[in-house]
Amino acid sequence: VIPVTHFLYLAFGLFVLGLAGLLFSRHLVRALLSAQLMLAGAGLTLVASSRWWGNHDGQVMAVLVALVGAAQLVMGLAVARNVRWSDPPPPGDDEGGVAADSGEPAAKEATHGA
Amino acid sequence: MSWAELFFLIFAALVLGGAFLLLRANDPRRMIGGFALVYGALAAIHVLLLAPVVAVVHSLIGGSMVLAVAPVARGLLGTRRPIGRSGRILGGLGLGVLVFVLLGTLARQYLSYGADVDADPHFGGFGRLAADLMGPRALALDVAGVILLVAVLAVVLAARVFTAAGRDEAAGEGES
Repeated sequence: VIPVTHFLYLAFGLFVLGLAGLLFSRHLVRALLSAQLMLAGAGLTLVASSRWWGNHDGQVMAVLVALVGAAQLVMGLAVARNVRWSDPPPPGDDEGGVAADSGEPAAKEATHGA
Repeated sequence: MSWAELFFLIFAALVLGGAFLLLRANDPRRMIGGFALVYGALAAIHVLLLAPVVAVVHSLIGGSMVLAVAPVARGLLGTRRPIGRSGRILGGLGLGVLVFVLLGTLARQYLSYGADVDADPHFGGFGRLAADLMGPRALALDVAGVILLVAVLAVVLAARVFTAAGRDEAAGEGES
């Protein structure tokens, strides 16, 4: 039999990893997927609490959270697909930025946008 | 250590490993692979929690997300979003507090385990959850479904608008 705290710690770890990705990643896809990690952690907390109390409400909420998360990802992707961030990459940044639509280097895109 | 606990540890390691892969990978295929690994292992953990319906819903939504992200991931990977210095400092502080709480509560786990989850084998069946979703929670399910539907319709509309605008822009550049 597994203690409920095991699930809660896993959910918390997933939430922290998602938050770190959301805060510190400058790549849009990674940031969007990190937000999904945070939602998945929240959903796991709901399901674990539901199991602990023997009540289905948490599972229902987890399903709803997953649905809203899917909507959020879809909208985020749609917005991100059509947005060009105009800040130039910091000097010494070696992550190899490429503009969203054109495939041109990010610095050239930023200059073009300005 | 029981079999259930062993399976939990294996799947928890897969979840965290997939999350690390997502955060560290530079190749979009590996990034999406890490995301799929997280959702797959999470589905197994939901089954351990006697929530098969949630596991199925999570798997379907996770698969849809992978299918939605994969075609655009390569083009978007290098797209940069601005993060200011203050955002990094505040984010770092918030994350530090969360990690402190996690480590503190994990240390407490050595003193006293949490309560065991209830072993009711009839918990989490499809019929009971469906009765909940379609009965007292029908409005919430409807609202979430409408939000998802509106999001999908908005994406289709945005794709048409931006595609037409891009075509006009390209035509204008061609003429000049």
